[in-house]
Amino acid sequence: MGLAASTLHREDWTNAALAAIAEGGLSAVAVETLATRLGASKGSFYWHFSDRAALLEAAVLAWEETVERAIRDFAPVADPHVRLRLLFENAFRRPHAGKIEAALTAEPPPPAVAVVLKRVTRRRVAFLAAALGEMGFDEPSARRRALILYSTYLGTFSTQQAHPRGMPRGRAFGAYLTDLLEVVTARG
Amino acid sequence: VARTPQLKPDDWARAALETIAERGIGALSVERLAGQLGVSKGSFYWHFADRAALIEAAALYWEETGTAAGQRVMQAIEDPRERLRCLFADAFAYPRAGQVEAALTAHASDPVVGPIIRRVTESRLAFTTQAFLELGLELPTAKHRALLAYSAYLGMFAIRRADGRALPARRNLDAYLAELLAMLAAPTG
Repeated sequence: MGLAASTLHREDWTNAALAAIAEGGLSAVAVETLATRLGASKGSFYWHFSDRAALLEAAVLAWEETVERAIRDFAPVADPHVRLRLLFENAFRRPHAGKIEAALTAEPPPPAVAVVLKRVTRRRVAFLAAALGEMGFDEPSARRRALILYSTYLGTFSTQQAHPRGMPRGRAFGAYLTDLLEVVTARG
Repeated sequence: VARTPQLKPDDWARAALETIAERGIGALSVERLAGQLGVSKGSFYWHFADRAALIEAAALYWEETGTAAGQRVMQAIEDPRERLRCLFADAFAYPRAGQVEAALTAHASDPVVGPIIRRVTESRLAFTTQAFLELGLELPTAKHRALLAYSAYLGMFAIRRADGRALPARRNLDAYLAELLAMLAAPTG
């Protein structure tokens, strides 16, 4: 136990915090609980962070970085249809990420979290709108469609949570995603 | 403090839902709620065994007023497209309702709230699937479209919380919903 504590990094704490958020929302992030889970002392926590708020902020910044990484990975894909397909396949493959997003907006986030949440939302909607613009939609339409696409993405995790057996799984989920992308990118 | 002896269980349920919408289930406290309603904690225990019983009553109240009652009215609209239009307009017009959904859904694994949420979600999906079927879509597609519509609805409130200004202004909401409905009602291929 003691040995584990001495080798804990900041990322171990932020990862544990994100896992706790995914499971039980922002209120599930408690220094003591996380310390127990990591087999560390509270002292080792305060070596990395000044308080719980600092940990929360570091955790959502780490989450933002995974969002940025996905955008960097898929931005070079030339065909905007393929780009969106790959982006969402990747996003849906990580149900953990979706749970974090649902949890972050289930209750009013503290200011430091709210700032990151707003930035991530704008970044993603802009990225989707740009792809839709390349497909030939004019700006207002691309923006509306980007919002519909993004809200459906976010809401899919909530629907799944609310009614687990109602959401298709495996290959059937692939068909659901195909339908989503077709619906949003179809020319009326 | 004004005495309100005529306070009914529904008054408590409604007040509890307000708190859940604004600050989540975690923020719900019997003491604070009693203070808000201007009554004693004792009057609470006259109606409810404990906080969990209040949460259950609030979720049941939400099921009845937020879903069952609305569906009874909408069911009378014969044209499926018009029914969906009314359903969307009604659902998206009240951000407060969506906040309740988001807050309750976060507790979907709760043994008391979970089954109510599943029942409501199932009933809403079935209601919407039915309308898409009447529009001429095949069953698998109609089911997808209902899931997409419901997810778009839940996700809209997540975005509202993340960045309120990202969403269309109230005056543009009709156009936004018309576009959403046109997309979802379109045949495949």
